[in-house]
This record gives sequence, structure tokens and C-alpha cells, in this order.
Amino acid sequence: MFKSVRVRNFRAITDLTVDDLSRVNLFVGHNACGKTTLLESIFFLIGATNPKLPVSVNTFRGFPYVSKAVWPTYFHNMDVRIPIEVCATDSETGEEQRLLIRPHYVHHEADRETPLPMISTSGVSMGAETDGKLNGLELEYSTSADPVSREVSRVFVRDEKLVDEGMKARTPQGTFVMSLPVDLRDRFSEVQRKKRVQEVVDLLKDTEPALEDIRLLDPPGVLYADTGGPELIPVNLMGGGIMKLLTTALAMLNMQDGYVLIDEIENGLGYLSQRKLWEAVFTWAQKLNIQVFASTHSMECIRAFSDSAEAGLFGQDAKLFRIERMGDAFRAVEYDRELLAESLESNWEGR
Amino acid sequence: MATAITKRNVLAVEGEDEKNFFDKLMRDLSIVDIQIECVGGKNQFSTKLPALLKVSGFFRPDGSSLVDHLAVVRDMDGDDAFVSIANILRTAKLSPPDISGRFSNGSPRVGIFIMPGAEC
Repeated sequence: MFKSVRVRNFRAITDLTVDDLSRVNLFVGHNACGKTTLLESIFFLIGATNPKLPVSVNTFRGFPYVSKAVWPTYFHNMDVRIPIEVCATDSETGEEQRLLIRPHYVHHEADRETPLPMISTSGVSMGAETDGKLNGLELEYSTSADPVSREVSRVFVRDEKLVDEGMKARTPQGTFVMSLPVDLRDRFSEVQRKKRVQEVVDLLKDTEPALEDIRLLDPPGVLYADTGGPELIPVNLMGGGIMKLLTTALAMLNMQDGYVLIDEIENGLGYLSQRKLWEAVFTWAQKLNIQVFASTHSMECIRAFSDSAEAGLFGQDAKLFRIERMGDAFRAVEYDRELLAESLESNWEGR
Repeated sequence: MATAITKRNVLAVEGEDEKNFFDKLMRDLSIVDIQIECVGGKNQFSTKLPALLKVSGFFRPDGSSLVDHLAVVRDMDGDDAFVSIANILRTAKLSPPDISGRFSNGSPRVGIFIMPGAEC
């Protein structure tokens, strides 16, 4: 689990530190305060040796790769001279993980990329040369346990196609739950293999009481719900709330010892469904050793978060952070369970 | 609709009666730049004052105060009310005044106002 996270020069965020993170963390704040950017930066760090993540994350935002004009959009004020930096400290070992994201250039003459340094022993990336055309991103990952070794990977354009180099699988893993429809087949199959489909059904039952079972029919490779009628119904047609619950449940149940990030967790859900979802999130987070980072705009969602933490005795696992922004200054205002409950009781604005 | 801090001066009082009294008094005196917030009883100061300081609009993201004055009004009621409130404020990293009825020089300036109890 991460104890603290620091983000610098990523999109709108100049410099933001969130300390004393808990197992389940809810980020709130005004529009454009950097909530989603904070989630994305944590996701980048979790997948720090996967150079395709920045492209995927932009796709989540509805901004897939279309041209080289996309590369500066990751950097604060589009200023690619200042690298993006994401650091996090482990809550048990105190070890710091660090990800630097720099522009990747291709040189004019040869129109060829700089060779990839698999292990660089200096603090200066070999690819960070500014005498060529901006052609992609370079990710450099290191830890305080072994500060000399750096894992470098890249994503860039070659022959009009996106290419990645230096990708390495690493654990723990993380999942980013977005509001966009995603292909749930693999996640559902895995949950089915682990014999945990009933837990998903139980979560969805509060919102759809007639639900008896969920099945993957292959072909056509679509999830269907059994609601007691004469035929199964495609789950995708059962509404946004059901899909939110389903995607979150499948993400959690597939992410033991990892991280789950949920943007706008309240989307499509009323208070009771949010309550049920938070209770499930707290339970699975504890049972499966998952650290959760979620965001919301909704006061109703904050109440559901607080009430669920209180009712399920998950108080020690819950924290809310309000991300505040004024110009280029950022800060995270921390609420533990008690402080949050007091604020809600007095109807004081915590968002 | 949740309440944010929108005024430069904040008055924290015990209960709804005090809130109504000060609200009426302020209106009669045409004082408009004081926000009155009720903590819900004298035993609530220890939990509600820290929560009040976290309310959106109290501090800027750089940590400086948007509020010029914070005044805390409490009944005497037997215990050492002044010390009790001063300790809560100190724990919250604010500078309480040395005596009741005055404001400190911190930012925000903090005042503690202990009202005589029924026995006085």
C-alpha cells in the first residue's frame, strides 16, 4: 500500500502531495482541481514499466492518439522541458518508488530514435535530447531500494504507428475503472474461475432485486443476466448503475494485493446502491488486500462512503481527501472517519 | 446544500439558541461580514472545531487563512471553559489568546469569549 503520493508537473497539477493515505481513499474537490489527474498519476506509477499507459489513459478520457500534438498534453502548461514526476512511499517498508516521464525525441538527420538504455546509471535520461522532433514519451522508473538501477521504457511513433520499447511486467498490478464501457469477458471469466460470481450477484441484487445469476455466453462473448424471465438479458442493457457496480466488482475481485482506481464512483447510482457498493469495496479491499483510490463530486456519495465506513467498522480503512486548487497552488485536506462524520453532521462543505 | 466558509470572520457558538441570538444581533447592528456556525453543544467543541477548520473556504491551498478572525463563544458551565477551548485550538495549530475576551495576533486572529454561567 502507498503511504503517500507526490505528483509534479502532470497536466494541471504543479505539485501535490497526499500524505497518510488509507486502504480506501476518496478524493473530492471542485471541477478541474486535479482529482482525475491524481488518479491517473497513481495509475502511471503502478504501471511504471508499461509505456503504453499514458496513451491508454488519454483514450479513457476520450482523447485517443491521433497525432504527435498529443505528447505535450501530459506536461504542465504543455511545457515538455519540465519532466513529470510521480513518487510514492510504501506504508510498510518506507521504500520510495519514482517515475519520471520525459519527452522522447527523434533526430532530424537519421529520423531514428535514440537507442533505448535498459539500465541507465545516471540521473539523466539518454533519450531526453531536445535537438530533434518530439516523437513520444520516455518513462524512467526507480526505487529507493535500488536507486542506481533504472527501468526505462518508451512509447513513440514510427512509420505512423505507435511503438513501445522496454515494457516489463511487474507486480503489483492496478486497474482503472472508468465510466466508459469496457470488455468485461476476461475479468468475468477469472471471477467465474475463482467461484466468486455469487458475490457479484449479491452486490447487484440491491439495485436489480430480480437478478438471479450472471453468465458469459460465448459466442457471442457477452455477459447476460438471469432475472427470472423466459430469456436472459444482456447486462449492458440493464442501465449505467448496474454496469458501474459490475465493472467495479469485477475490477476488485481480480486485483488481489493490488490497486483499484475508480473515477466518479457515484455515476449512475442512487444513495442505496452507493452504500452497497462502498460496503463491498471496503470488504473486498480488506479481504483481498487492495488499496482503493476513488473520486467523486457527489455529496450523496460522500455520505454513503462515511455511513458505510461507520456501519461496517471500516473506519480505520477510510479517508477522504479534498483536493484544493488556487492558481498553481494545490493541497490535499485530509479527513479521517471521525472528522468526516462531524462535518457531514454539521452539513459543512467538505468537497 | 452544504455550507462553505464565505465570510472573512467566523463566529463558532454552542447551539441553535446562541446562533439565533447572534444572528439577530448582527442584523440589528447591520453587521454582515460574520459567518455564524453552531457546533451543537459545549461538549462538541473538541470534535467540531477541528472539522470547522477543514471546511472549504477557511484556508487557501498554500495554507494561509482566508478568514481574518475566528471567535469562539462558550458558556462557563463549571469547567475551565477558556483552557478547554484554548487547548482545542492549540491542537488545531491555531494561536489562542492569553485571556478571554481578546483576540490573538495569529492568522486567523483567534478570540475566545466565555459567557458567565447561571451561577454567576
